[in-house]
Amino acid sequence: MTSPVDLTLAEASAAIAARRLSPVEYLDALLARIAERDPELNAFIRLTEEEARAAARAAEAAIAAGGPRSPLHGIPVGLKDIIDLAGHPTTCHSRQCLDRVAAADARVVALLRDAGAVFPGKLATHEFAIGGPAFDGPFPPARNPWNRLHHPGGSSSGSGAAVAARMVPAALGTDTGGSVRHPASHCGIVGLKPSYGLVSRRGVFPLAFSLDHVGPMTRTVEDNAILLNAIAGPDAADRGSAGREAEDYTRLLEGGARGLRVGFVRHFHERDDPAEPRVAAALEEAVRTLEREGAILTDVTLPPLGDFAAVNRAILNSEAAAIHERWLRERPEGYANITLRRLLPGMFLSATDLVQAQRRRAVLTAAVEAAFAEVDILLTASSMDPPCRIDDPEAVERTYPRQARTVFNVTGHPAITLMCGLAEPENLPLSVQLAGRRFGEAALYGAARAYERAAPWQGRAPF
Amino acid sequence: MSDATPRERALIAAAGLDATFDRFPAEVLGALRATEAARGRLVRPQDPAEEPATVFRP
Repeated sequence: MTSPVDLTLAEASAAIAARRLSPVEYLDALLARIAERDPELNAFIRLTEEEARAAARAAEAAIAAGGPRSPLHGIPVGLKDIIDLAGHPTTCHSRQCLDRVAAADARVVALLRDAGAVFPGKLATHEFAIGGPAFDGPFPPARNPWNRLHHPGGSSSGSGAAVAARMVPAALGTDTGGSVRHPASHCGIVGLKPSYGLVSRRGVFPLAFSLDHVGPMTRTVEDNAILLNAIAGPDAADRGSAGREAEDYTRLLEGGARGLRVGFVRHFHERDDPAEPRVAAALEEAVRTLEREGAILTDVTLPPLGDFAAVNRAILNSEAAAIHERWLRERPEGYANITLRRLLPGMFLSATDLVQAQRRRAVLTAAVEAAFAEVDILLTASSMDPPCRIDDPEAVERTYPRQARTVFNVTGHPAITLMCGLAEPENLPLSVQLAGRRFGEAALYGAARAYERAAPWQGRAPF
Repeated sequence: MSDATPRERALIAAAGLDATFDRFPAEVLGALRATEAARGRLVRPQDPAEEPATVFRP
């Protein structure tokens, strides 16, 4: 019999609805997995076992009385520790915030709670979603479940590690320059950065207001769409909210790839920032897989990757410095050293640097919009390298910016990453990124599901 | 430790980071120099009147 921890979110949800799986039994199995694996992975920085057990018992009783109120009823969901969970500290993995207890749930947590989700704990992050992996912070950095000597990606590192290691079937991360998709890529799971403004950031500690997104991290595309269904929607209290009503993002999942027009942005990883050969080969194989499924592939040229990276960096650093200005001046010792080094540059950017970046952002966004007049989906690299050693700071600094994820933080389009290979002999996941039209998450999930179904990677586990 | 030039010390002071510099000179100076080096990588518009995306609204 399959262990409950190996069930996907959709499978667990169906088992709970059919009364074949109790939410309490499910939570206990996951907590046992956490107890077994987390001492070597450091995905969780705080467990909320008692509260979670109470919620699971309540879910069990409610489902027995009237059936589940949503596909997430009784489903444990992990939370990156920059997301507020009422009554618990949101530490941002920082000494600056160890006692910062959340008075209320973040909007996304409130929506998940309404849907019946259970919260077993708070997950490790790069400090303030920017500084990591750090060995001088208040908690150790999360490790990659596929090979604990390697980087799990960040900044939603605990979310990636916990989902990949089957400690939770789903987690929330945040993504300002790729921080959902980076750990999803390195941990061999599915991560979505939704369209800018689709998911509320209220109650989520900001990194950069105009680039921040909350996104779902799961083991399958279907699970990801189920989680987005619960958290998408307008929020008048989030100034970035697009005011867009949620849709059923699962509705196009099984549409297949026949006739899908896919634009392959080859120059990102061939010319602009050449990928490691195993990454390039895995991307070519992903393209061939989609072609075999009936997709129509064409090469697409966008502005150079470096333009997107420079804009992302100028805006992110400026906005982050505005948030951290006081602490950078008055208590810099409260940061891990890598965080301090990543936040300080924003203090030296000028007003004209920021305006020039915003001008260039409009041009870059228009270029990506124009591409979507010709294709339905863009396919790009995610990381240009397999996960590096976590204890090699030079490799971390070298590989950290070698990626194509910031493109879609700059433009606001939705983008999803999923596993497309395994780097041997290290046994580390490789991944591909698909991007879709603004608010085209349902179609994007359909394309991702078509690839997932045809490729041999779904269900691959790190151990 | 400080090999900051007078101009760099002035920029650090203007950023309000004198006290931070006293405690973390390498980090502050490294950030200043990295930012100055990165400034050249940001593409400027040809048209000086081009409107920026001052608030990002999709």
